[in-house]
Amino acid sequence: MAVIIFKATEKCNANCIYCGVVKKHQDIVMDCELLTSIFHKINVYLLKYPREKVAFTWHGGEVGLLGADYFNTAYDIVHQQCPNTWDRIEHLVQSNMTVLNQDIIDAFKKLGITQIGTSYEYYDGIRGLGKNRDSMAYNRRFFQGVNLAERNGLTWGFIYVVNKKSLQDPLKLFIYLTNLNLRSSPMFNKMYDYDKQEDSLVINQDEYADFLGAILPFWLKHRDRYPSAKPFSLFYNSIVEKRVQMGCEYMGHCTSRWVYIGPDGSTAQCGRAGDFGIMKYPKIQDATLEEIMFHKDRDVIDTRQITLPETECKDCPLWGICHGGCVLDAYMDKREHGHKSPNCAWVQKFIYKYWEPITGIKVEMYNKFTKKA
Amino acid sequence: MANILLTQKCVRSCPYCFAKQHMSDSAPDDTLSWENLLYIVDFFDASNEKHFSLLGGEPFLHPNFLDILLYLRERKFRTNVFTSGVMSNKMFDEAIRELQHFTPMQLSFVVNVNDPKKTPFSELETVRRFLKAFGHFTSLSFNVYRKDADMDFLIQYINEFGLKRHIRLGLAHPIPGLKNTHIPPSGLREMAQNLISHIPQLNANHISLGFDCGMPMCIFTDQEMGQLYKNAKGQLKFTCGPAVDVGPDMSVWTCFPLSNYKKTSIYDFDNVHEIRKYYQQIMAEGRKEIAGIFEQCDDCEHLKNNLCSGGCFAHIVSKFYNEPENIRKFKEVKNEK
Amino acid sequence: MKNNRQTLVTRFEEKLIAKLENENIIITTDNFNFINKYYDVVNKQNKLNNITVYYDGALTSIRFLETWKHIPLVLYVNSIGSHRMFFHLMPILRQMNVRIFLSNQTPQNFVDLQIMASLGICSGIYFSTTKMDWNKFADLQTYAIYSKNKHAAVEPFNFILSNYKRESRLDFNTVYYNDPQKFLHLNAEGQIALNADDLKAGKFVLENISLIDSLPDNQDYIKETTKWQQHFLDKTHCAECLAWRICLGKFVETIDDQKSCANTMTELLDGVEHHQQRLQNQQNNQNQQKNRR
Repeated sequence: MAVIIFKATEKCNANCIYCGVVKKHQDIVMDCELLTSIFHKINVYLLKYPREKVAFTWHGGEVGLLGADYFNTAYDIVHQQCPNTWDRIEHLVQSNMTVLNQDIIDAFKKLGITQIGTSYEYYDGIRGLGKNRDSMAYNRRFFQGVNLAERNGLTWGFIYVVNKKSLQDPLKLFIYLTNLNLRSSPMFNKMYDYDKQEDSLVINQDEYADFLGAILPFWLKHRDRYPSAKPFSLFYNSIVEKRVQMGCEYMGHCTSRWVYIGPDGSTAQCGRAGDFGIMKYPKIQDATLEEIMFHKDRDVIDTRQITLPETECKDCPLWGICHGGCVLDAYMDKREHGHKSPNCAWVQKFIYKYWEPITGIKVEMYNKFTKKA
Repeated sequence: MANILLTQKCVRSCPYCFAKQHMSDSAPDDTLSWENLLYIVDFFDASNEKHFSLLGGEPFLHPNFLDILLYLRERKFRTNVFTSGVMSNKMFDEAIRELQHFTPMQLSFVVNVNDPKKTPFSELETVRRFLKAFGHFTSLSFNVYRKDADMDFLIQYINEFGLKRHIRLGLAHPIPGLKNTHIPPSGLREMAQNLISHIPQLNANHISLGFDCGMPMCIFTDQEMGQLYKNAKGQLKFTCGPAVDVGPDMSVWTCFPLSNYKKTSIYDFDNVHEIRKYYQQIMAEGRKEIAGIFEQCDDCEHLKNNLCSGGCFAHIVSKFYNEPENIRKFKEVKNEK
Repeated sequence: MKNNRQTLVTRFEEKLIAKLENENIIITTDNFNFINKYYDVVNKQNKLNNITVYYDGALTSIRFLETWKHIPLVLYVNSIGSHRMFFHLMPILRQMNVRIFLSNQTPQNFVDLQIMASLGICSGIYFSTTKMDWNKFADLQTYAIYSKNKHAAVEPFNFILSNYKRESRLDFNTVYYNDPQKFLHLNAEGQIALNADDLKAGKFVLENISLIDSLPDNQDYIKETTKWQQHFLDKTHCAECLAWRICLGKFVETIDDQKSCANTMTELLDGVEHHQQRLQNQQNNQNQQKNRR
């Protein structure tokens, strides 16, 4: 399945401290002509690859700012441009939930969207509306959005970005966040260091590992209660049940699967690449989707999967879990693609300081998955 | 049948009392709470044992005694109550009122009587009052603590009050580490002869005898055994095994004389069979050291064939009490298990 | 009866009942004199769910009638009264279709609920005071969940055991009819309130039952059904409590230094999950045996 991270706008009503997109201050909205062209190119791509599917992820900025009409128009365009392939396009959405209304929800449903991906923050002053980053106002609106979605039968899942404040009481935070949405526990992601302006909240690799380690014993004891809490469930599935299901940044197979399309038609390897402005490919106006998906610049990702097990990751028992980590992180760290990700440090610490001593399960995942690419 | 202690309070002070140790170890106002009773009843129910005996002290002194009997009836438990028959007028009146609709299948009393000649008159009067009112529920129990015990009064009581025609005969056993009145092994033969001398009169009155635990077989001759066999219609036992007593504080022990020996808690077990098994193992280990109360027990065929246990285990433990080294050895055997 | 509709809770008002049709109805009263009449009238064109009697007295002071045998009764009483009298009541209580609620006011009530349950009488605790004896509550909970013996249901534990799903919040206020997704409270004129307190306070959300289809969009209704979110906005202890999913902050006023409510309710949650796991294992075993055959 091809994954398109589609940002029709990068405008946002929120002002989250760790958001790379909001700092770009891009307020343009993709016009209908370009939108039409994109779905035309998706149709061409799907016609050429009849067994392929596209996960079309509406991303932002805040997609709700596009308004219901935009989505209704998109629906019409999809059906005009993709008369025989529209059913192979799965629409997904990421929203902060704070500007949703019934019309938007109806438009989502029309597109076949059944769940909304979002984020939430426990501590004040990190996610918020406006200059002052008003968290209370944000959270109130968030719940209004949640209620609206749930009343319409949509489910929601969320990401929590682990930051300096999260380290105060990881377990309390875990319980709070898992209580918030019992249907789907959050994914705990490390806060990224987009710039150095507000780095007081950025955590290092050790801190992230310690954060997860503080929760791990509790999660293991109650994993039936919190089956979807990530990354714990991902590690468990990979190590214990041998079902490798780590996130995209640890799978090493994103080469020709992901693409970011920005409001101006610019493309990049994935959403984060688009945010960072790296691993860019030709604008969608200037190339077919196939050309972008199989662009020669992507080869470095495949090559890295072959070279790393012979070099930096040689004999690493954790290779089967992390595959050298995300190529973007490696590039951001060393300005070269061929290295392992600096996130290797937290994975190692989490496994060796917490996972193995707590579970008694030794991680030996080198041979099985090596040279997979 | 297991025994549940409702209260530590007692109105009498019998010289042979083998509950002495337990009573002295417990708070006098310790009574079984409703919560604990519910747990115990569920415990026995889950063990498929829907009957037990209520003991004291004096069970009638428990503030909720009659309510407990009513509750047990609702739970379809068969309840046997060990009582002195001594109680206040108020309690007696209430008992008359509340117990009138019970059937002997639901409730029975075992009244432990002492020789009337050695019993205060007022106590005697209340016992007689009880026997008169509840005779059809009641059988007598008599604890022999003297070699020359007189048992004629038992026959008189049974006839006078229409009691069940059976006497439960208990032997007063020693309490390891404490002094109580009991018959030492050397006096048991004499006691047996005295007992046998009552058989013709018991037979004449159609009254059977039954032995409580710890009576050794060999204190009777074969001829006497025949007499006993006929009297008891073959229902004779010469065994000693865990009775299982449960205290108001949910502690568990094997029987009163051994109440301070290997005491545990009901919460340590899943059912009453586990408790019995636990104490059976302890007794079996002890009897590996000393088979019975007589030296002959070591090679006794009847013991090997489980016809006789070789007397009360309390005698065996008492021996260890006077021999510190052996106690240690004995205890080590237990701990290894 | 109307499917997926709330059960209507109301005091008996003949004219109102006559206006209703095919509704599931609970009649609340404090009077035992007209129980048979309530049953007959309500069942003419509606279905009587039960008659709930709020009685300011002891259970044993109620004169139970043989004619109530077929009538579903729910009794809220202060205590059972004398044990002796209660045991004498047992023969008739056994024949009744009755559930008896005792208040949390006295420690003895918690024990008496166990006694009732052990004798096959469905029972429950209701919360009339914020002064809670958490030890007694925990004992009752342990009994309700872990007892090896067959016993009648004890609420709200039975409700939680039967309805807990890992992926959704569970509001045991349903047991007390205070869940507008399941129960609506009507006054004599048929005006609709979301719970018993609102009814008492004259706070109505709909003027009559014919407007019920508009309820999901009613702002008061939405507010009531989403009020749990305030705990997250305020970051109360309850939002950070392990037992949130089965408690939803009901004991927020009783929170003490030892967090007794959290400890007790967390034990309850563990017990409920353990119970479900046990059932699941039994089911799996049965399936395995079937497959082998």
